[in-house]
Amino acid sequence: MTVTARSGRGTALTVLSPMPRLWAGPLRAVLYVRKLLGPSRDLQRMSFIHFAHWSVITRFPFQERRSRYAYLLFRSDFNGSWDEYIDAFSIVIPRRMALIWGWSYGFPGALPTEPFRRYIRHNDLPVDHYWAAYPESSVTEVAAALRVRDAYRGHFGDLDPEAAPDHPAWPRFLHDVQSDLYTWERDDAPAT
Amino acid sequence: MPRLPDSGTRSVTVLARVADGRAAELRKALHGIGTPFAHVPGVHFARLVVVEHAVAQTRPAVWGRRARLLDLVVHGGRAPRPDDLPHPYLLMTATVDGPAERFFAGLRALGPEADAIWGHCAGYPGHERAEDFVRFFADRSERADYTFGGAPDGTVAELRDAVALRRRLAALAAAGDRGRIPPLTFSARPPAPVRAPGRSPLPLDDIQGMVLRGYGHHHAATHLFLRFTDRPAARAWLAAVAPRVTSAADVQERPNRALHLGLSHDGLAALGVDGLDRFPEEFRAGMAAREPALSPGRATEPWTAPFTGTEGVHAVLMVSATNPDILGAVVRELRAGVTAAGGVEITGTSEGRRLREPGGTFIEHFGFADGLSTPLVEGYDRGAPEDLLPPGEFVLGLPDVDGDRAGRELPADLVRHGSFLVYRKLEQDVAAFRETVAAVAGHFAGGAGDAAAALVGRGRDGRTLDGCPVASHVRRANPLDTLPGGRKLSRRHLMLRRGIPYGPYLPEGEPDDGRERGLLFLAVVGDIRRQFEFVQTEWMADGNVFGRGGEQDVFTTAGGPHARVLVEGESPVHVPVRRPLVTCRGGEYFLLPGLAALRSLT
Repeated sequence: MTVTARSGRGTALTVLSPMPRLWAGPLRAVLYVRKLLGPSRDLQRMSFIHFAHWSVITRFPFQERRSRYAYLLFRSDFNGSWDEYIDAFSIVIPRRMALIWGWSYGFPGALPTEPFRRYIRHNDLPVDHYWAAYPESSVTEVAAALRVRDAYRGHFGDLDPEAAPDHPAWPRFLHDVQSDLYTWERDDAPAT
Repeated sequence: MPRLPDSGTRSVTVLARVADGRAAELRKALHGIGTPFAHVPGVHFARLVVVEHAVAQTRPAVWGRRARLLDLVVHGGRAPRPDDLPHPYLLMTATVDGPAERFFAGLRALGPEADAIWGHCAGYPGHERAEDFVRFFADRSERADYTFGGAPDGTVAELRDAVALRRRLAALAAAGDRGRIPPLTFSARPPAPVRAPGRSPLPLDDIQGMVLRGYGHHHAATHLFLRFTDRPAARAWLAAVAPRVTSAADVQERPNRALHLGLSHDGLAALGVDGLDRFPEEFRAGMAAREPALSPGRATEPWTAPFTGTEGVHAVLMVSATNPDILGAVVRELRAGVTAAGGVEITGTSEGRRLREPGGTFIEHFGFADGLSTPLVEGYDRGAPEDLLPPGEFVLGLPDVDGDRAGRELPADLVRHGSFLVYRKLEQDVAAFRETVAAVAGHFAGGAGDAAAALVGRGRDGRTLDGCPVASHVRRANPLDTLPGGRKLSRRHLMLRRGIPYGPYLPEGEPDDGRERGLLFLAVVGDIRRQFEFVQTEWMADGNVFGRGGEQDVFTTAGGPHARVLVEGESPVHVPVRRPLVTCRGGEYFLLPGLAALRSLT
């Protein structure tokens, strides 16, 4: 079993799966349509995905011979447990999984979850080097931070944060963003 | 090449062919390069992967009809022919701010560090000439056909600054100590489970009784922890005890006593059972090996006998009865049996006693009504279809929540109608809990009672808390539909709790008496990792999914100067947890074999 790469809270998934060249065009079309449809709300609601990218590769750069098949390359940076991540895809968007991976050999269907998990694990490439710019910040913390920043600017403008608690707008600010003002320094990792 | 917009985060993928014979060397070099991307501005994530060969594909061993149909349409039912990449490649994927060329220029600024990596690739021109360097990467770029970003857009610098600002403001808010929580309101208690009418389709006479029922009317319990020191003698002892193990069919007559037996991986090995390598990793490793993840910061350091020491617990014999006298008689007899048998040693004992309020409610040591909100089992409990869980969630060999046969990979005869038992001795520091609540009671209009209820997520009398705080203990244990994916996902992580308190109750207002008290936490599951460990590591020991960053559950955290649980109201209260309220003193993963399986072990 390949070991997935981690950096703080960030986990990498790198999946390369072969598919008949015949289907490379149609799959590219599917991905293009998805792109036109805009950000996926289902994926967004799964609050543990930093980024996910899909590429269909029909030609490897500077290749001297052709591979028999085309390849689908999937990369993702996410938080939390690997298994739950894959299961969330299976359970929440099984049809979309089939639409993307259905063209690849060996795809067992998105449900039940165990065969699909095994399929992804089988095709997950071991990462030789992984780096995250904000390893201790999860996706939700990043989102919370941006909300707090925007609210802060709205209430206080350019004010030095140290002076904010004495500012008359402080109670109102606290009330507005309290759900984002959790504080808990992890004692097993440095602050970013 | 079309002009790309200057801002926005994008995906960059470069596939550089590795020079002949240099793949192994490159891989080795990558494992020692430090953090070069830290010096390249605007990089959110980056990875380097040496891909030497395509992964050989196999046809799925298990696949549904739809997938098979899809395979027919897409592949004509044909298996893939062997294939490989044309050459080994170094894959770089990064998520970066701004256009790809800027990222490549940033790589170039690494100078010799970049050479150390791409110097192993065919056609690499070195970092001296900017145009050649950037062209090398541009020519080998592969665009992403579809990208998705989870958090709102922002450059690395913006995100880091925002994160730092949020942390500073949160710390100021916590220090300000101005929180105010208006009176909490409560609704009715969750109803107790009711048995479904008629005969259960489940094989009740083969399932150990405690799996399906909590024996609430048994007020006393003794758990004997055992080690097998001689295999034949141990098996003979097992032969004598196995017929006395209570089955779920016995429950209906409300016996005044019950006997259940769990075997750990080490115990099964000591009995000479085959096929143990097929058991899941967590079961084979044993709980002690998993504790660093289950109790971050403490691991097994607070553990006490019999869970410490080089040899683990092999078995747990659990006796329960309606009163201590009946219990005592059964336990004396069992102890005598162990002594007479030889080959079995009792390495420790735990005594459980139910705590009861004057009104009759069963409580645990922090004073909260216990044994509420338990999952309902299809084929046994009555409930709406969406509230019933498939029996395989708790009984191996039956269908689980994914429609799979639970424990399909395991030796069938050994695990048929068995269950996994998660056993944890959780010591509760009642004085610390009361102090923690008292310290913030002034911020709650409803006083200490409300403060405690906000942390636990329920009223002391068991009533449901309206607008239950998102990261309260009860909500962490079962988020229901509050998480993305809703109940479809959260229902996959539920346990049947079968615990019992131990130690004497500390009356209100009494100072700490130094006596040991807590909860013998027992949970029955079909999949230890999915139903227990996942909850412990993702929902208890972390707060990310709840939008709470690293905040831990009030009863899981080791506490300390930085441990503060956020409670929302008119303005937020950050409840300091200065020292641990709950400490795990030991535990183990056991198999509760089905009765036929148990008999076959002898």
